[in-house]
Amino acid sequence: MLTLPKSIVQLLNKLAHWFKHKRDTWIKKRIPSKNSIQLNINNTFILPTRFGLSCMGIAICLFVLGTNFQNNIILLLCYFILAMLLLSIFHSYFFFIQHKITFLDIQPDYDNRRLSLPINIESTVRYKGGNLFLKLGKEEILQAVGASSTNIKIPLKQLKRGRYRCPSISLSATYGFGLFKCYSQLTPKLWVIVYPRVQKSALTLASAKDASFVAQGNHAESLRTDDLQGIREYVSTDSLKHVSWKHAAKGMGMLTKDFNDNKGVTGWLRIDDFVHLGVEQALRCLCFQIQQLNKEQVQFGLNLGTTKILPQKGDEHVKNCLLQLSLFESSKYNNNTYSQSSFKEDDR
Amino acid sequence: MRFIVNQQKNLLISSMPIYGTLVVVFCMVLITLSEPLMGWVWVLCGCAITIAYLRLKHRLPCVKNLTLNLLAIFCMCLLIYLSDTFGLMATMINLLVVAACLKLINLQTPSDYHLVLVILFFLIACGFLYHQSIYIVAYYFACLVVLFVTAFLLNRGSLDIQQSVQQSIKMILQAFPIMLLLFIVAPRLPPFWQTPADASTQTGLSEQITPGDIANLAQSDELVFRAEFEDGKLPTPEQRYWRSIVLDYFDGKSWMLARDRYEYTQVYKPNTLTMQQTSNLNYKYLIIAQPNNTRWLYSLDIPVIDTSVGNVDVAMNYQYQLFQPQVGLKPSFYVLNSYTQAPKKQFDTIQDSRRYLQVPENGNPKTVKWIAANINSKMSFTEKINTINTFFLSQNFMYTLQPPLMQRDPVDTFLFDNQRGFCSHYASAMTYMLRLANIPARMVAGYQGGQEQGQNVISVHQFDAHAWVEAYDDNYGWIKYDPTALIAPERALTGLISALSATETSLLSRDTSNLFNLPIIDYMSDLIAIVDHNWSQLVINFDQKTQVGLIEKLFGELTYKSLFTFLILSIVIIVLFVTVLFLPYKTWLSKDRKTSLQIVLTFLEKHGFKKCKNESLNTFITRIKRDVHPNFFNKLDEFSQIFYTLEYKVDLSDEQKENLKTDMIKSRNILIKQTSKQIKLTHR
Repeated sequence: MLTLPKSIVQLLNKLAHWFKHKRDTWIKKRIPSKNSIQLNINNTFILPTRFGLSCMGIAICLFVLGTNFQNNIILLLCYFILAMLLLSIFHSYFFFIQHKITFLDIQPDYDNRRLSLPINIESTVRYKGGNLFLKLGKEEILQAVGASSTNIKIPLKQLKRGRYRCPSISLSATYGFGLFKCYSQLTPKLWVIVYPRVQKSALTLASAKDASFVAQGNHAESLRTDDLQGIREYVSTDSLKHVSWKHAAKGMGMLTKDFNDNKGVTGWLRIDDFVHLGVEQALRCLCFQIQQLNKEQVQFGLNLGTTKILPQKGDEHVKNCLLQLSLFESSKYNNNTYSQSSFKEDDR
Repeated sequence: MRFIVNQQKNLLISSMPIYGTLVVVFCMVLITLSEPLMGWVWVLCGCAITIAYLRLKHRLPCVKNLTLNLLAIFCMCLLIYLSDTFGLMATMINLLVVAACLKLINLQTPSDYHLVLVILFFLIACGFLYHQSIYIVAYYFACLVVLFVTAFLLNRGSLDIQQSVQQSIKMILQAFPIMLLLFIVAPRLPPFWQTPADASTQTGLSEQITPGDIANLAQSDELVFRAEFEDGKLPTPEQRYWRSIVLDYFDGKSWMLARDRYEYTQVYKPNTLTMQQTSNLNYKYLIIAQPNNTRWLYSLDIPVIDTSVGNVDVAMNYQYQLFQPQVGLKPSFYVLNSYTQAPKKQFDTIQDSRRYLQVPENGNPKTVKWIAANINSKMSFTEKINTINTFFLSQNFMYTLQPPLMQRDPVDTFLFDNQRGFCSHYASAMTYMLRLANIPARMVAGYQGGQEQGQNVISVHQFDAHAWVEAYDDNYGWIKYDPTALIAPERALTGLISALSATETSLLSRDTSNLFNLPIIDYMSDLIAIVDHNWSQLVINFDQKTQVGLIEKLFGELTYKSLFTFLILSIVIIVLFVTVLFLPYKTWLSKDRKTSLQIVLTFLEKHGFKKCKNESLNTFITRIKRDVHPNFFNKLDEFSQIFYTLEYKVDLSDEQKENLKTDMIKSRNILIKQTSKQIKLTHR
């Protein structure tokens, strides 16, 4: 067997990579990143498939054959195939642009699970039947679009914790006789957020007094005196009994009365308490703690050294905390024992 | 990858109908290609189809790829080995068939299916090299449509089979008008290079005839040519001797052309005036000839060529045979005027007497002996001929399609042992005897008879092939003798069928015409002949001349300008056709037109009055009351009243609704005709 020298292979790979990069940037420039896209002439590429190319080859061969033998019937066949090719371009294009693609929000998840990108495909169903191919990285999905609206999910590849831009999705269809392929590369304007996975650990809630920063401590103490502690925005886990209906009636929206008894336990989650396990492990433990505290309706704050979140409750708060965990950069942490260069893969 | 696995499964399960269809179409195409296919390829096809059938029925797994690859290599070697004997074209067709066979055994991915489709497209194209009649073309196009439907079924998605078939046929039919237009418009080019001629037609007379050859032709019902006579003046059956090839060299077994081809293509122009004087009868006719792999064409004696019509340059040589400058690859047509009674006097005393008296140096001793015993040099021309004729009549000769094999001294064996033969045996023997008797003679191969179709058309088929003799007499020129007519006179009068015994008739593959003498069958066969005739005139013979003729018919004189207009026009027609097909006119029609309210609102918006989203029409009008002209406000108010009544009043009859609608449109039209001055109130 003939083997190419390594340097040539490398060069070829580099060339291919360069070409792909150029192509991708060109396409990205052409098709701006958007969450809801009506396919049309501006974002569709029509390319012949292998079958289409071979049919073109056949048409050329038949023309030569028919001309050489002066055989009109072969020429007739040649023109028939040409006509089919011509019409196929339009059929596959009009099939393709009957679709409207909407990318829905990606639900954040833990890094030991695979996230998926939910997509809604709307179709005017001018052409019935046909398949759409959705490709994200190495993941390909063949979707038959029959109804006027279809929901599908494309699994993303397994990611480390962090925040990423949603990768672009290539969408293609070979409607009709499979002679032409319509192609589009769409980039959703979405963030993929991956939390650290959950690792069970003992609850370690540093009391507010222990906290080394005084200002916040004051804040917690001053609220301890009253029964009714204050009013805050309603979150879905709050009991309806605690909703301030007075405010609701005035049209100020749903607000929840915060009572002192809920406030009984309050404290800080600190990364310093877990850091002896290693930064990643520490983050996983914190992730567990946040979940657990939220379940128990405890008000807590998060101290990640550089980033601090004041003690609060509710889903929004939890989301915010988890986001901070996933964004946490170990290199910025003082007691960095792990030398991971960069988790950030924002600009992939 | 997940998707590939899924798709494969998908195809294997759901594509059984597709698989089956492909196999069936493959068989259908195969049947028509029986000519060039080698025996072992047939066996391979049989195996492949059986395996495909078993796989379909029992859902068997695939055959190992290694096995198939080895088989493919073996087949390739065999094909290369045999390619010399079969010729390039036949080898290519066999190769394609083998490839399709091997692929049909293991159909898995869509690209496998596509490959088979592509091969079948090409095979169909090759089929057109062998068959061009309208029926076979229709058959092939049906196959093509099925193939494209199959291609559609491969990615039909969630559509069921019946719907997909409907949808795809609709899409395929759209291609036909474009195809026809392209066919008419696209420029015809001359052949790029000289093509191997073996593929086009293999039947027909050849330039070398061994007695018995023509008997094979008798079993072919392929059309050779059609002659369309002027004014319905047809020659009588015994006059229908269509000369094609004159053979003058005899090697003891076969008759062939003596010299190099150049001599046979020297143009001879007889004196038309003398012919007119000597012949009372003349027939004017058009011949449409199928390609025959040679340069020779057909005519009744003695033809005068009308050079103003026709698609080939036909000329006549000194043997009174017609020829064209190149081997005919496509049907040719030409117009002749034949003077059947004019004498054929062309004879070069020195050269031709040597040429037409040539006999092999040895062989056929019995014949030589018989001539020496029965004919002497003192006998006149007529006496010699009579002696020979008497011999044929006195003996027990028989006319048959299945003469026994005559290997050594064939003339002797035929004349004295078997006495059974086909026309070429008789012609060959008689020519040989005449030459031995010192009479210049030659064998003429051609066709005799033909089938009358309608009032003025005669169709001549391969089974009309015939051979006869011409002998030269100093006074009368070349005289035609047909020894076959002595033995089987019916042959010349009513055709081949009647001259044969009942058992032999069944050998002929054609259906013996009109067994029950039903007029409807006559009518039908006439109709078929007319369709065939038009097909070959309109489609098969469509060439640059016809194209130019069409342009001239449409635009007058052929200039660059008219050619250009013609091309542009045809492109415009194609574009228009595509536009009509793909414009979303359906959605335009079905979509509700803008309502009157929308029209009014956009009109108002243009003049600076924008209705907010959560505002009702009433609140909107009241809001803008201060800013608009009172007259305009009244009109607007009126409009809104009508609108509210129409939209919200419950018990309205249909008539009232219609009235309100027209009122609303009127009111709307009044509103939007107002000028800006009439609308806006200018505050001071």
